[in-house]
Amino acid sequence: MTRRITLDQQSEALARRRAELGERVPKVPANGGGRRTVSKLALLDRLDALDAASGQPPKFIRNR
Amino acid sequence: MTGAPPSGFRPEFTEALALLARAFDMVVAGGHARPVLVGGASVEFYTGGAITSGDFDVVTGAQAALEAALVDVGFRREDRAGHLLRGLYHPTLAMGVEIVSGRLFDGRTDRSRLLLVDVGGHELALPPIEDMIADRMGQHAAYERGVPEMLQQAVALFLLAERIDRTYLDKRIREETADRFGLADLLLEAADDSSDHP
Repeated sequence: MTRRITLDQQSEALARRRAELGERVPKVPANGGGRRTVSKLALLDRLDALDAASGQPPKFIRNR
Repeated sequence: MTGAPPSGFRPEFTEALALLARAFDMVVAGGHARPVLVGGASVEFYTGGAITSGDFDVVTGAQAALEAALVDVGFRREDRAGHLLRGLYHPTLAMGVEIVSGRLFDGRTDRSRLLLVDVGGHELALPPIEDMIADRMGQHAAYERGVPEMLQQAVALFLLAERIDRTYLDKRIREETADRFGLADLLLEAADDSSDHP
């Protein structure tokens, strides 16, 4: 069954869960998403470099 | 948007969600299936901002319709110097949207479990939290040495969830990790006593 929720309800559910967890609230990096974006671009650069080394044109087009 | 953003979520995140929900409704009004928000933004929603993301990854079979709708609500096709020429971005919210074609998690998600989030009278669809946990476990399992950040995200999602279907979660973790991991591995990481979730 598809569930429906509002942002407020999600926020309240998270607050309840954090209260239940107490000291067990997970510690996570503050901004994992930002790092992922950087690493994705770095990966594409790496793939371009491998293509160049084998004489192929880069597959990924960037706006320089 | 209605009223002040709920505590825990960044204002720019809730503003972007509101725009996406409007765009998703436009896609549905055009006769297409509702797009599904996946990736880091979905994790940000389920963790209440404990893990944040600058990207909105969206799965849809109606890419052209969604792109048109996103432009209608204020996003721009990528045209900035130094950025990959794909996706869209919002000029004031510092948020990008990338559209992922194909089926949600290769068709393995039980779509009856999708979560619909009401944002200012418009609706976003998200994968069930079990699928997001399994996705993070899958990314962790994709490398021999693992990806600790992805494992941390899986644990955070699991611990912060108010409700979990453990049978479905075990099945999805096994599918996403090619049977390398299961629920027991996640419980071990989370130091879970198996009595928390209803």
